[in-house]
Amino acid sequence: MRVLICIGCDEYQDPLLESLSGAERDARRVYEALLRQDLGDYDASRSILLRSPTLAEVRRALLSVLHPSLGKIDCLTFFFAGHGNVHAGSFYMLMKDTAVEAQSLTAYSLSDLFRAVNDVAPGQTNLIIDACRSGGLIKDLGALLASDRLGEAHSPGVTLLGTAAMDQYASETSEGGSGTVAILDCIEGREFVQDHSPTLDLLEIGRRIASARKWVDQNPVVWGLNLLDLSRFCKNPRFSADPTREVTAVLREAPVYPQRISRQHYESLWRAYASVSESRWDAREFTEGVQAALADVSGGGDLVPILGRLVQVVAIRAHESPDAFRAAQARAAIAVSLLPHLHRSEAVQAANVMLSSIADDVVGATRLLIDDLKKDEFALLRGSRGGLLDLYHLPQRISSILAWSAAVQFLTADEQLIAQAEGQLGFLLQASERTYAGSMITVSDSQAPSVCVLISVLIATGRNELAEEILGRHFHSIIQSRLRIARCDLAPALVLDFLLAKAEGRLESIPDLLEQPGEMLTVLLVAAAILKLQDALDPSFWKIDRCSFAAFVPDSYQDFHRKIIESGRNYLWQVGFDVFNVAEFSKSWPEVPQPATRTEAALAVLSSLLYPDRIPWFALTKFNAEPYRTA
Amino acid sequence: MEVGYFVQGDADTAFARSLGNLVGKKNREAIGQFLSSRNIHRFKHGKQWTHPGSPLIEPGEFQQHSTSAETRFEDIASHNLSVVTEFIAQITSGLHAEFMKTMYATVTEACDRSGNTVDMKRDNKTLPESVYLMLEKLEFGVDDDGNVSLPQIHAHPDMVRRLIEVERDATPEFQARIKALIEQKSEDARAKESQRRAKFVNYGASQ
Repeated sequence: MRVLICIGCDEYQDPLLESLSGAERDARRVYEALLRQDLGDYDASRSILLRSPTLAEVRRALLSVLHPSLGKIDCLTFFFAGHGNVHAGSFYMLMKDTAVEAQSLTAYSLSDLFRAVNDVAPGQTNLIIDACRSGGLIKDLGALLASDRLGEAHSPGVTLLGTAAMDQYASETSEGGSGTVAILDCIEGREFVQDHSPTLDLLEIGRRIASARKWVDQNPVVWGLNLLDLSRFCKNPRFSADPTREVTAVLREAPVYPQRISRQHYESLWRAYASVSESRWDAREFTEGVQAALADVSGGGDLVPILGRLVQVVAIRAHESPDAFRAAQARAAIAVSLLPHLHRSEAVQAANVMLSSIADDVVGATRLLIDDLKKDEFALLRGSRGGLLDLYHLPQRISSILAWSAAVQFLTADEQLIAQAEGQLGFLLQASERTYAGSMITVSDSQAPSVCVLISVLIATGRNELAEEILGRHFHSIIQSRLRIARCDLAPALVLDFLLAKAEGRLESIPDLLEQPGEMLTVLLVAAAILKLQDALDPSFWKIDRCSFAAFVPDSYQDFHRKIIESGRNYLWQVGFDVFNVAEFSKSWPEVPQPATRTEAALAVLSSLLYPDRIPWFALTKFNAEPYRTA
Repeated sequence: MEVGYFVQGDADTAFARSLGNLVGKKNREAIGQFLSSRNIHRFKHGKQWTHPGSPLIEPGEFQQHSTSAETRFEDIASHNLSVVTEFIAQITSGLHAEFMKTMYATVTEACDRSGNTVDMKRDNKTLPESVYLMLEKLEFGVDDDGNVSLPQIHAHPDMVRRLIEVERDATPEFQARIKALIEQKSEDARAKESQRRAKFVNYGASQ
């Protein structure tokens, strides 16, 4: 519980006390600032603002917010703006009905406040006095030090800030009391205090305003007592201003930093991290940046904790990107780098945590998309601003969205989340059918992994009809183009050439832009064999006579995330020479190794969705029999 | 780290990429004179390939081709633009030479393994007879449109001259024999193609 008491006194009944014009305003400004969730996050239900109160009103207010029956107070902040005075060995805050000649009886002494603090014992206490001679609060420290709890573990800490020394007046400007203005500048981020901590304490604010400003005949004083715990006077608005802070923190906390992570590596990591929020982001470039930065960190033991922390800060940054699926992709790019380390239990544990988060990210992003589609059926186009370029990208975008949504089955064991994802997939398939049916086609071989994952999940969840529908659309499109589809790594600058050639029916004139041999047909034929669609596909086989297609099957999955997977074999078929129909293909389909664990299976699926030049064949050939779910 | 002066940042990477693309394109064009584009494959992973649908075809393994070219600082300093075309020509001819070596080695190995060779000296045959035997051993292909494609002959320039002489000096009887052989081979190729197409479901039918 964070409690705030702000008192501003402008009106004074005693003619010897000049009325003030800014104290109430100062108290109100501090009160409003510290109640803001993003600045002070004090509890409004237990905080109070008093404007020109009498002494009795002050005592009643204090009782109403500090009474022990109301519960423990973690942090108490008391602010006073008005007349102050040192009198008879004590500092007094003068209230509306204070009589100058009887201050000890009619003003509120700091000793009284300290005794209340001792009694209530909040976890932390911050006292700010913006009044003349407020440095005189030192006179009352005896009352505070008399507490028999000081020095014990978890005993209260107290920070006191007076905006003027004991023998000085507190000045005012048109904006308010100079001291209060300076404090508010720190609270509201206009004045930089520090950026390495999410909170500010009153001590560092006090030091800052004392040193940063050019005070004339006024010097703030600040005291800290019994500061055992981290003080949380307010939140630090500058905490996230330094874009490198999160990355620095990851490296600083790494067990091997700074010995093995040089400045050069730090910059690689920073560039990778910074790219995550950009509109243009490349998963491979990101991964290579991270790998370069952590190249000297030994595998497993040191690497896993660093990746575990890195994935969190990367995901936060990814949410700033214009792509709703970026967080899922960025997390996945880090998660798949754990593939070679799955023999270590901590790596498996870290991977499963990441997989679970990725599933959450995907469901969240899909929810956003579905909301957009309900408002605007062309949401998939309006957000991208691609224009004609979307003739190339939209089919791939649709494949990716459906595949990532389907892939949640692999990523989590949370039945509720899986059910949510299944429902979302159903909606997306219907919406795609309704508005984007013409774009549910193959334009690029990069769609092969997505189609493989989607169809495998549809089969596994008993939605064979939908699987057949998807298969049919893609098969028809590649038959129409005679298996001339874009290579999976087609450079952006060449997309127009590809589209023009496709539009003009001359794809054979651009062999360099085409994937040969591709794997999309292979995916469709494997699925067709499972779904027993030979009779539907065989009559079209002759149309792709002499065309080649392939499948790369790795020896294992520990390197399935790498740019080039060295260990494995390419299987090649030529229509009309090696195979003439689905059955013949099916007979010659090789043995595909299965991932050792469900975690490895999930990471392999993610690798194929991130780097779409490899196919998780096991998903089609095994998944539909025994669904992979993470442990 | 070596220090430069007004270094060009990422421009060198972009330039190298476009140079690589150009060399790649020229290389493919050169290879395309010997191989149909349909038979030029790109693999992204692994080091081997195999035809599981045709077990008789031997598995293949990637071989690395490399070549190099030098450009002198003096040529750059004197703005000698001819080094651009020279560089590209050196690289493409180097790669082409590697390709040709590999192609001939592969074909030779396959022929030796299958016994599809004609040895004039060993078999004590004249050149015209050897040409006839060579044609006899060949299978002609048929293209997409059903046209028979005659084999290409690759030979050393001296051998080419001799083959031209064979054709020029051929007797009418020998010409008739060659013609009959080619017709038979073409007929065989068309028949085989017909049998091949018959393995499809309703080849040529529109749906």
